[in-house]
Amino acid sequence: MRRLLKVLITAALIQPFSLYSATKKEDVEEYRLKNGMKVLFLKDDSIPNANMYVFWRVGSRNEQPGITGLSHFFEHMMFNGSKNYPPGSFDVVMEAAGGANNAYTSNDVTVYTNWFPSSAFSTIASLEADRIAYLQLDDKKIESERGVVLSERSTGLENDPWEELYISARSTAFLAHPYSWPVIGWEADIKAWTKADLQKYFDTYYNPSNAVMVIVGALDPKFVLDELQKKIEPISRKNVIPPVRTIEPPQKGERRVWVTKDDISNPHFLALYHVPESKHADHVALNILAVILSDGPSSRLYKSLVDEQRLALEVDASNAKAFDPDLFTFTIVGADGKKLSAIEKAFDKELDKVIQGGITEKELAAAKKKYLVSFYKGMETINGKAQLLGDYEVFHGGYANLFSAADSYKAVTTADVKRVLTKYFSRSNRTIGLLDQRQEQ
Amino acid sequence: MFRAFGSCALLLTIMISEVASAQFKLPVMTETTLDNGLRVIFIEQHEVPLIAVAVAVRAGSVNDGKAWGLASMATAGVDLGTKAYSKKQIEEIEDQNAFQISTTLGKEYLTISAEAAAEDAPTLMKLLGELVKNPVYPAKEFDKLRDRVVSQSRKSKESPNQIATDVFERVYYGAHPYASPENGVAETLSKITAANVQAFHKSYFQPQIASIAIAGDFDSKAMKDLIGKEFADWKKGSAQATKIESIAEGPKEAEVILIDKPDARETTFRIGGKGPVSFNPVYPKLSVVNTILGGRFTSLLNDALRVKSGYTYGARSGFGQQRSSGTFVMSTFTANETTFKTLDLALETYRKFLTQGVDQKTLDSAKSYVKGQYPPQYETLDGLTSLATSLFVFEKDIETFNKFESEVDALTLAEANELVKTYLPKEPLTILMIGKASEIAGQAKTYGRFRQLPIGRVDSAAAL
Repeated sequence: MRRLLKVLITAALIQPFSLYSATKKEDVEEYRLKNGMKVLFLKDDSIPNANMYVFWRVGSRNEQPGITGLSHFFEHMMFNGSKNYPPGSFDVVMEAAGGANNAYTSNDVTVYTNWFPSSAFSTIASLEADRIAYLQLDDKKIESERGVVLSERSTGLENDPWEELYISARSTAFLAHPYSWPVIGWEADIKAWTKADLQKYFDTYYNPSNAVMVIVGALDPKFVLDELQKKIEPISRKNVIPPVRTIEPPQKGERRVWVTKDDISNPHFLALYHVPESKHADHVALNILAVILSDGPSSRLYKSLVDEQRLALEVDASNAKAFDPDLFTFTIVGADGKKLSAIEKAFDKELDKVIQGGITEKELAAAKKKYLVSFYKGMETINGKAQLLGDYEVFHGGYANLFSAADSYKAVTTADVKRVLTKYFSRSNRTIGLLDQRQEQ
Repeated sequence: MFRAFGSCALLLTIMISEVASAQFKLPVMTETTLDNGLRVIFIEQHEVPLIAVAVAVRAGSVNDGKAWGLASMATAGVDLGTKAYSKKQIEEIEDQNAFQISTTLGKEYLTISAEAAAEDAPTLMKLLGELVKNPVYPAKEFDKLRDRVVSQSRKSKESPNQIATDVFERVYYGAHPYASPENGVAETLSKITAANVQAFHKSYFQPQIASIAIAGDFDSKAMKDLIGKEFADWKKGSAQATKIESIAEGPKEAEVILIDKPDARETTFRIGGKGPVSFNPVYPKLSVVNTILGGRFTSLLNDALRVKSGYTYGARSGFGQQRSSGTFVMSTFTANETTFKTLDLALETYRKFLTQGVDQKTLDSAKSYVKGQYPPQYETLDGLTSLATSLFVFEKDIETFNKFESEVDALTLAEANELVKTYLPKEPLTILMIGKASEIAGQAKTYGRFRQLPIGRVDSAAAL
């Protein structure tokens, strides 16, 4: 993330299974600009505001050792000067027009978000177009921004005990694939990358055909299209985006990693299981499983580990949102004085129980309803709509699938959940991460 | 557009109004008061089939006395069982209906809020009615919850950014009731019993100091009946919202409090002093002034400390959310080695702002920014229930919000500069640092009357 006090987004966002009649697939206008950029526009007059989200299909998975974290650093540099807007002026111009912005980088994507009163659309389009067409990398800005990113990395490690464990465990779970390194990058790489690295990155990945632009708000569609045709469409690049070639080889046995930290007050337990990419048919059943295991007071792991056995303070299970096969993540914060070995034993017992016995119809129905409610919540705002449309377009096979997601969720059966449990949740497919003051013998 | 309900035997309906501005209109709010004094506010919105509900009671951490965290635990424990439902039943109702129930604790009010599918409104209201009126705080379950909260409270020290504002307020407010951290500290929390919270509930959870705001996809007339059914029997009592005196002046000398965190890789700052109370008459204009200093990306603080120097990922400023005695605080963080460059630059930026004030171009930009970013705050259902709750708790007329945009428009350069002088604290200021004392204590001492405390001290109720 570029802006204040936010953490990198890696977790899955809401995954809906039904859509309220207020917004339909037909309401979304789709354009393909001549430079290859896809544009999705949804008119929404509920407030006199609009947004522009640009999803670039580039993230830390496109990096290599030596330039880890460059996608994220590049995201920062996109705010630091282009031909017609010298360093500092991008934000000055946008804020003076009443707009605000942010951006985030994940393993797979870099997303630039602009929020503004509708009257500022033309200004926003000019700002966005200029940095895509004429980004200028200023030596002084590269150095000050390097300091900002080092501070961002440091404040993550300072304020979130999970960060260090998460980084170590992911890099253990992935031997080959670039999901192995943290989005923020290794410290040595942050300190070492050069202007030439940045320029090469821009030339390679910031081809408009590698982006999806989503605009939602109180705007006239004709005006939107005119502006984009005038300002964005002429930006054309001919290069071919290099694919990510590496495929993670199947894991052949459990891996374990320990991290120790003197001042940690409670043990932290992490379990990572390899699961398929978001477009895979099993993705939805895995999402449902995550809810059943840890969402709400009667979810399996919460009930057992937090409430009944009092081994843990918090539990969480989440499925990945990713272009390539990624990890299903369990996190558990242990209660005071509890041993990680006891937590792991209890976790295994609960997981074995659900693998063997499956889930109930009642659990399945509750999980589906939770998805429905969280989906509606996402659709409350123009920003939620832009985020969902973009997510579906880049992660889930196209924005139209947002409107048929209802059926995919409805179709999930208890047998589907049992099948994914058996298929992915074996000991040999997992990495265990352990964090405490001392390593247990 | 104004709107009112027709007559009703049970409920006396009055009209609030709508928040309107040149381009932006908030949805219509209508208000009614039950015979027991419970204020009810309806905001119909039909875009998504959801409802958001917020019950607010005008009691908070100022009512804790020495048992810091008492109000918080009384609120967090409402779902451990009620007269009609066991804990297990409550959990099942929550999970089966996908209710998202949450509780928050402020200095002078607490809330129990929920979001749900609109079709489940009857089930939700029945449950909320029980949670608010009839919690029984079973001792065994309460002890489990309390032990968990104590652990989480201790654990929060691992995140200096999470505890810094509470610590600053403890230092700044000293013996004032606002010093009590909303969610308590480990030492005081660990002594709270089920009997204590039951007594707190009896004393303060009363309808004449409470409101319920409902926003979303419902029919107001039917919702009014539903609220009457679940809340009309909430028994009126004699509790009143506590009156809190304002602190007359800020610190008389510069104080520096260094909380020693031996493993810190960075220093976390809170620097501030006396500020205005929330929603004071010039609040829209002050939000413009703060935007210029530390309320947006191009603010003076963020520009100096992040954009120009790269010392930090972010620097900002803001006014506290207090009803009776306010604060103004600047916050940032930096690597250990740039601690004093950052502190000096923050203070220099602030001094410059106080002496040089605002220029026309920056003022125009900030006005435009504040107006442009205003509507999305009230786009969500819970944003609307929060607004309605604020009106009740802060005893504000809807006009406060109604006039927001025109107030911002009316702000002149002369007035902006006058506001800087009137509402921002002059030095001396209180400087809080959470960081590695072995590396920074020596120099920290030179900034004012100095105290160094181990980080474990924040878990105790001893003075900071």
